[in-house]
Amino acid sequence: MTFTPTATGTTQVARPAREYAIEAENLSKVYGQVNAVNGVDLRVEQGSIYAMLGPNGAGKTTTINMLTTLTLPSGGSARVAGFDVVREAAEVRRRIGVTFQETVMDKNLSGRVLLDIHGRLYNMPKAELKSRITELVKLVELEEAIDRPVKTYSGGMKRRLELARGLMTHPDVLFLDEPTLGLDPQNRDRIWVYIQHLQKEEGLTILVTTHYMDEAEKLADKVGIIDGGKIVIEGSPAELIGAMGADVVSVTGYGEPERFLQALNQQEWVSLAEVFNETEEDNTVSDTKIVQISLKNEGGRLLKPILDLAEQNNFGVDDISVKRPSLNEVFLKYTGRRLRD
Amino acid sequence: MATVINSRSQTQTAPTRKTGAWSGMATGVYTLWLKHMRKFLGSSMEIGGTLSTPILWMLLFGLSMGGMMKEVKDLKFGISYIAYITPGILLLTGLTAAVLGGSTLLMERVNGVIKEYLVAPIPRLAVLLGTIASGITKCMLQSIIVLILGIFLGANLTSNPLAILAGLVVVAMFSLGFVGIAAAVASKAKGMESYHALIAVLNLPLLFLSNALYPLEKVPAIIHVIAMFNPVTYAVDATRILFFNAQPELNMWLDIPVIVAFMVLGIWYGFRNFQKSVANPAG
Repeated sequence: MTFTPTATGTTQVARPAREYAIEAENLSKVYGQVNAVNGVDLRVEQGSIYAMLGPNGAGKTTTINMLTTLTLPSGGSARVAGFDVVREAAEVRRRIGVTFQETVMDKNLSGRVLLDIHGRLYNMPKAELKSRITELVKLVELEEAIDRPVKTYSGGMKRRLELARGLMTHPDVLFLDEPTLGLDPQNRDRIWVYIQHLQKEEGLTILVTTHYMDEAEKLADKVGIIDGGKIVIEGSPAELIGAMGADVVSVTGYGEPERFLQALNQQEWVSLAEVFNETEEDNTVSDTKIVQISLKNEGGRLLKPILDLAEQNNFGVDDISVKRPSLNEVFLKYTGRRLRD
Repeated sequence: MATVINSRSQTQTAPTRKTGAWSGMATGVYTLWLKHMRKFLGSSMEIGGTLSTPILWMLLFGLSMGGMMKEVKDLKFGISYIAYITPGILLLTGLTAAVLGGSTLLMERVNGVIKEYLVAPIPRLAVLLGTIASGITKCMLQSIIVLILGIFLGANLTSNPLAILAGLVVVAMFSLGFVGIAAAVASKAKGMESYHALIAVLNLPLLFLSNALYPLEKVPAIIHVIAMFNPVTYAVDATRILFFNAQPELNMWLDIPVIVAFMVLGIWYGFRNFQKSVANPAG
């Protein structure tokens, strides 16, 4: 199933609202004085993979908690699989699968027992329980470990078991909060192979949050960048990256970038030059500035003129790089931050 | 938008069993009970930890003190010392089991396992009731083991099956009160350490400041007064009468209402604190 992303104005007749597996309008959550989520609008088409990207504390997990009926919204509304997350929470719960950011499992029980208990919570008939476990264990390749206590599993195995647990009850919508966090590349790839398989074979709608831009770029049908409790930009990876221009040059350096920026923006080969402060993981701002320049054509030949401009305008250059734009650059543009793995 | 409510998209996939609130409750309580019991039976730590203390009490204290306390017979209770202390030790075992049962809830809250239940189609109350159900089952299993041990050590169990049954009901009500309190503390506590300190703090004073080990008429007035505020005193009196045909120290008609009141209060307290804690499960 493929959907052509249309920004707004979907016609109700051709595409009835029920094609959205997740719809949120002005969804917000206030904890005391803090607006953790500040009016999120979200539409996830059925059978698609939607990746929510955002720095720590942007509101990703709180949004997922509200969509999965774990936390009550302070304002706005949301429907998941056609049901209101507040008024019809029980219906929503019956139709969703969730994996949480931290692995939450009883480490002394075996994988099989955990899956069994999970299915029973949803009142699955016994015969179906058994066959579904066999099926999923095969899918996530845990045949050998499934009867061992979970405490003997590696991080990747635990994630795979959680994924299987999220799928136990044939959900319509699957929520995955950082499913690949802390995994090595090999295990990350594996998780994504399963996720794509599920989307194709079972027509599952998947909302996933991730730190890894490359994953979102390769695998998501649509990406939403969330910052400060709001979705700041949304679109297919191709759209978002396409809007960045042909090439992006990043200049990392120090000094006052204003004049440098001005000079750049006057060049006809520059579509947009912006400056960002480098932000550390703990949200402290360092002195290093990143000047990101979107170019109208290929950047290789333009490095020299850029360096000249920097020198003329007293901007000290530590590092300069030219690349095809990726979600990393999109992310920097809209959040003013760079995510590090 | 309001018109799309009933247009379920993938009716063919999700197992659509019509489950009302009550069957969701039954499913939830049973599943949680099952899970906790599987964990419990697989963990020699929890069983051993709860049973080792009472067994030591029975063997060391019971047998050695029993030699000295022959005159308990003269106190018109009409039973051997081992029979005399079995109810107290048994109830304390129930108490410890209750506290450990509550720690199941705490663990699941602290490490996030509770979230799996909260996004499942079961009422939130089922999480509390499931924990209480498994807690009380553990209490009863272990109390019965202590009772059997007492019999082996020479306590003369009554031959009236109804009295035995009534005694077990008293043990269950008493334990339920503590399961409720344990669930309340588990809903509030920040971590495991403070919680386990609770067992130590509760256990010995409740044992010593009661009639579990010695008759109240022999203790200083101050301890006697404190013991009258200790629910253990009433449960011990009732179970001693029911299991071993002892002469009452207090009065059955006082014991039972006090135990029932204690049970109701404990469960209410557990319920109230649990409700508060799931209102904000992230905390």
